[in-house]
Amino acid sequence: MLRKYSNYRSFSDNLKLGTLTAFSAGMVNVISVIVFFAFTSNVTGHYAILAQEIAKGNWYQGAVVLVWIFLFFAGNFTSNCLIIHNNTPTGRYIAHAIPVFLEMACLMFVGIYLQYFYTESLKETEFLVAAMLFAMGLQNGLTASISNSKVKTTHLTGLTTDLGVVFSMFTKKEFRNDKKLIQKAQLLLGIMFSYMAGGIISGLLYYKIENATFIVIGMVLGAVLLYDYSKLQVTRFVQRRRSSFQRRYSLYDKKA
Amino acid sequence: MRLGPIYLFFALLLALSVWFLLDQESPETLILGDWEEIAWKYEKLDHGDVMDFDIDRLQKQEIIKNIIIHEAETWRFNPDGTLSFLEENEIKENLKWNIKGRGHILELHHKNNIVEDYQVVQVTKDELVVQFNSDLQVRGIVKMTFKRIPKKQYAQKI
Repeated sequence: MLRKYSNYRSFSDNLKLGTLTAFSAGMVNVISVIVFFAFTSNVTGHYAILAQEIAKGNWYQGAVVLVWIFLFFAGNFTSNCLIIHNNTPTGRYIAHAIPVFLEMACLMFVGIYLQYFYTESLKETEFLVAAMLFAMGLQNGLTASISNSKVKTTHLTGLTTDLGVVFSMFTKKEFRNDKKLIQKAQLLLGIMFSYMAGGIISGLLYYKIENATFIVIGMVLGAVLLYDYSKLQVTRFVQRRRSSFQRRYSLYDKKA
Repeated sequence: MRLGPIYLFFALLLALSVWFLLDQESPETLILGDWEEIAWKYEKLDHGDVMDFDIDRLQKQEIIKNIIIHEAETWRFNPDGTLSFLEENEIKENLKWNIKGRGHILELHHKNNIVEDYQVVQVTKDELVVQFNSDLQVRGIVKMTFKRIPKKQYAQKI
């Protein structure tokens, strides 16, 4: 999911990354609406609200929204910076894992703060929403960057546009068996349903376990990190075995 | 492409936002004090044939029956996060309040764990306008307008 970059990624890599991260984004967005009355996985609405607040002359609210948008931008910026400055075959997994780890840290911080320190003041709300937007920016920047913009999981505007385009292509017979188009539709549908599922589950969970929902989000992101880590360990184990076998075999050859 | 002016523009925009956040009063502080209810109106209705957007006393009572807030003359927002509903200078109910979102949601926590949300349309030094959805008789958005009671005047009244 995280080890491969750009065009070296397979459809399966993108599908796994897309569905898991979309699931966590759906969870984050719904929980932020329930707790803070603000969307945190997308900024399109925030741009509209910013314009509206400026038009109304509500400078304070406008400034809050502008800082939120900046935090989403900062998340994307940080994510891509980490990726492009550490794009070496050996450090690639680490470079791709750090944004997920930072995202996890941000969301865990929000969960812990909500559980133990939150007094429901407006300043706290604004700050925690900003932290969640930064986390979502990190995720979106990572998925878009490593997948050549094929996977974007925190907002569904572009995805719905692409789905509309892909399904319109299917109205022509010649495209119905096009493997690339079919895979694209599968990927987009996978992300869409996963985002929805994350949102629904988050909504249901919050009323049962409240702030512990953030632990579940952390676990989903942990699965993204550990899946590739385990794959790397298996690969290294196989490589070690193979090299020791080859060494032994060459020694045997020499003796013979 | 020269990136300097672009970076400068965004840095200035961000600095301006931070300055606004530090300089301007937040809705949470603006709302503190005593507010007198002055008007109830339908902001939007899904009945095309209803001509009058004003809410009369009977309609108001009907709406109030189905929401938790009491009919009160005065709402007093205290800095300790409590809200008192007053009628003829007597406290009818005390509950907890807080502001969420970007300062656009007023949340009221009643003692029986029921939470009500109102949308803060406007809060200035003189006027507070909140909205809530009503599903009664006609489905629509009810707009409540309050006028600030100056501290001196309120003390004299008491």
